[in-house]
Formats: sequence, structure tokens, C-alpha cells
Amino acid sequence: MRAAAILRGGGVATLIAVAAPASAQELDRPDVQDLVLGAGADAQPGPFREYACGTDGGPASIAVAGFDEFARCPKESGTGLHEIAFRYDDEIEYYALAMNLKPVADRYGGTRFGSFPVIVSALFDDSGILRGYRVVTDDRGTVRERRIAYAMGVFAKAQFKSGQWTCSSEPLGEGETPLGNQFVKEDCSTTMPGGQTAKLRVRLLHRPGQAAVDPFTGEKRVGQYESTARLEVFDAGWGSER
Amino acid sequence: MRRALIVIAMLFLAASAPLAEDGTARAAFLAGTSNDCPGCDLSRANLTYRDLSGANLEGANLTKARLHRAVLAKANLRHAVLAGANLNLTDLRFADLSNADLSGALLYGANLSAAVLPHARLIDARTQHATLARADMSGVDWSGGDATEARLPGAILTGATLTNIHAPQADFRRVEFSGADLTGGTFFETVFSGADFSGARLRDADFRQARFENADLTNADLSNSQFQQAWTQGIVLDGSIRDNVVGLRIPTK
Repeated sequence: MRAAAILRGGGVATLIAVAAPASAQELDRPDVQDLVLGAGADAQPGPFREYACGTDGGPASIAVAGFDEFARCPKESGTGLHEIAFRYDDEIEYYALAMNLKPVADRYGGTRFGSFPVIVSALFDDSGILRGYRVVTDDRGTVRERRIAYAMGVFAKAQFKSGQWTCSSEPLGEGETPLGNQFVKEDCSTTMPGGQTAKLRVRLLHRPGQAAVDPFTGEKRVGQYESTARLEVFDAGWGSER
Repeated sequence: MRRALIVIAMLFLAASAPLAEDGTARAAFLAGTSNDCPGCDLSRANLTYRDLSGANLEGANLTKARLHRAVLAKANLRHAVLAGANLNLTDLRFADLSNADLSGALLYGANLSAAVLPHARLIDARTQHATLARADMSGVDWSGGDATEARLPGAILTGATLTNIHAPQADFRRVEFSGADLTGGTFFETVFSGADFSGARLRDADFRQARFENADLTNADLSNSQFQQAWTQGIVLDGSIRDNVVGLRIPTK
């Protein structure tokens, strides 16, 4: 996982170094996969930006100065952990824009997991040790980004290949309907050799009351569906209900 | 002999005193306890996101420094060397950059509204989407720069050198270009409405689909430039040189 992060960073340096001054090699941007499970708040990579208490993968809540202020964020009832949301730094994105390296800017624009806009958060225990992190697709993207957000599940599985993923597909619930002839309602989990676990929840469906076409007027409705993926990675011994 | 040694020691101390002073100021500046560091060597320093409003950095060496999203509003950067520095998205409103060297600097999306930059060097600077409204840029050397979609309404560029600048879709409304040299520039769809080009050189430039409404080109040299589909209502061309100009529609009086 860490090796993959280093490779990603190396890729940026290589791409930018082609057209940029020497200072480009000093640029690197950590992401959520660079977080170190089992290490303290002060040992985590950074800097990230806009640290704030998380809301179970939703929009950020109260702003905090950094990971070391984890105790200011309330403990989650489900995991017993303190969630701190953050966003990625945009220095590389704008460096690439200034150098007219649009593909690099697109790749490093915003807070993304692969190419998917996401909300990321770190999960700390009461003693400030990182016990997990959370990656949830961000519904605030463009219509197209939202439509394909569920595909982050495929990317997430590819990031954790060291363990065997176990998945279960649920049938549609009452009032839920497919998008055209397609729906995904899948819950997956895997355990890695070190005992860390990953959980993945993927959804692509119309929820009750949602439809592509208004049943009364016949007008097309845009964005009335759920297309989401939610990834949680936990340190060994963490992640189950507490 | 002893007297000679004392003299040498005193000379050494006198020479090293400014260095020590500079080192102290630099350490305090980098530690964030001070915002002033005139004349300091801050090359390659990481100052991203730093609030340096009103800082005194006159004559400082900030070559290739990282200042992404830094706030430098009203800062004193006279004679500072910012060559190759990363100033993307910086706030430089009302900053004094007189005679500063910004060659090759990255200023994407930076805000330099009402900044003072007379005789600054902006050679090959990358100022795409930057805002320089009402900035004083008289005598600057901005040759070879990229100013795509930059906004400079009301800026002063008298006597400036903008040779081979790339500035498509930029906004130069009411800019004073008198005596400036825009030779070889690319200004596709750029807005020059109400600009003053009197006595300026606009040779070998691309002004296709640019807007020149009510611009003053008195005594300007437009030789070999392209003006296809440019908007020229109210343009003043008295005494202008127009050898081999392509596509320029001269309005009837």
C-alpha cells in the first residue's frame, strides 16, 4: 500500500519534471492511503487542509487545527473512534495548471480516490492512535461524476488485493428500483495479512420515490438515484461495532 | 604585529555582523515569529499558505520559494528576487514589487490588484487567470510570459515589454500601453476596449477576434499583424504604421 503511494508520488515528479524547474521534485502530496494505521496523530503525513470533525463520511463539521485535535471531535457510536475529515493540498494541481500540464492537474485536482471525488477522514482512538480511515464518494461532484461514483468500489478492491474480498449482493428492497436494467447493492470485506480489515459498501439504484422519469408529468429527472461507494479501512482489532 | 591582528579581527567582525544579523532574522522568519526579513536568503523556502501581510521582504532572495496560497497583501517586495518561485493563488494585492525579479515565476490565479510593479522582470512568468486590475506595471519586462485569461483592467503598462507574450482571452480594458512593445504577442479574443496604445509597437502579433472598441492606436506600429474579425468600432489610428496588416477593419469617420 505504501509502495503504491510512493510510486504515485514518483509518477507526479516524473511527469512534472519534464517541463518544470528543479523545484518540482520537492512537490509531493500525501493522500489518505499514506496514513499510517497504528501510529499516533503526530506521526501522520501531511500537511492536509481544512481539518474538521467528520460526520460519518458526510460533510465536514467543526474546524480543527489538525489530527492532534482529535479529542475535540465526538466519539462515533458505531466505531468508538474520533473522526477527522480533511482535504488534500492543491499545490500540485495548480503547479500543473501553471505549467499547462492539464492531465496532471486533472489527476490531482480536488480530493480524489483514484479519479473519484471523495470525502476522506481519519479515525483515532482515545489515545490518539490512528485506527482507521474512511473514504466516501462525494455527491457534490458533477452529474457524470455522481453517476459513476459507485465504480469507486472496483478501484477500492484493486487497492487491497493482498486479502480475499468476500462480497454479498442484496436484492432490491421495497420501493427500490434499478437504473435502467442495472443495479448494485453490494457489501464486501477483506482481511489483510497484517490483520487490518477493509469494508466496502457499493450502491447504484433508485431509492423509494426516485425515478428517471416523473410518473405524473413524464419529464426527465436528473440525479434521482443513489450512486455511492464507501470504503473503511481499520487497524487489526478495530472496525467491529463497539 | 599584534596591532595588525587586532585590525584584521575587527575587520572580520565588522564584515560578519550583517551575516549574523541576517541569520537571526532568517531563523525568526522561517520559524514564523517574524514576518520581516529584508535582504535574507530565502531561496527554495517553503512558505505555502503563510500569512505575510505587510511583510518587509525588500531585496530578499526568494528564488524558487514555495509561496502557494500565501498572503502577501501590502508586502514590501521591492528588489526581491522571486525567479522561478511558486506564487500560484497568492494574495499580492497592494504589494510593492518595484524592480522585483519574477522571471519564470508561477502566478496562476494570483491576485495582484493595485500592486506596484514598475520595472519588474516578469520574463516567461506564468500568470494565467491572474488578476492585475489597476496594477502599476510601467516598464516591466513581461516577454515570453503566459497571461492566458489574465485580468488587467485599468492597469498601467506604459513602456513595458510584452514581446512574444501569450495572452489569449485576457482582459486589458482601459490599459495604458503607450510606448509599450507587444511585438510577436498572441492576443486571440483578447479585450483591449478603451486601451491606449499611442506610440506602441504591435508588430507581428495575433489580434484575431480581439476587441479594440474605442482604443487609441495613434502613432502605433501595427506592421505584419493579424486583425481578422477584430472589433474596431471607435478605434483611433491616426499616424499608425499599418504595413502588411491583415484583416484590420478601419471604421469610417
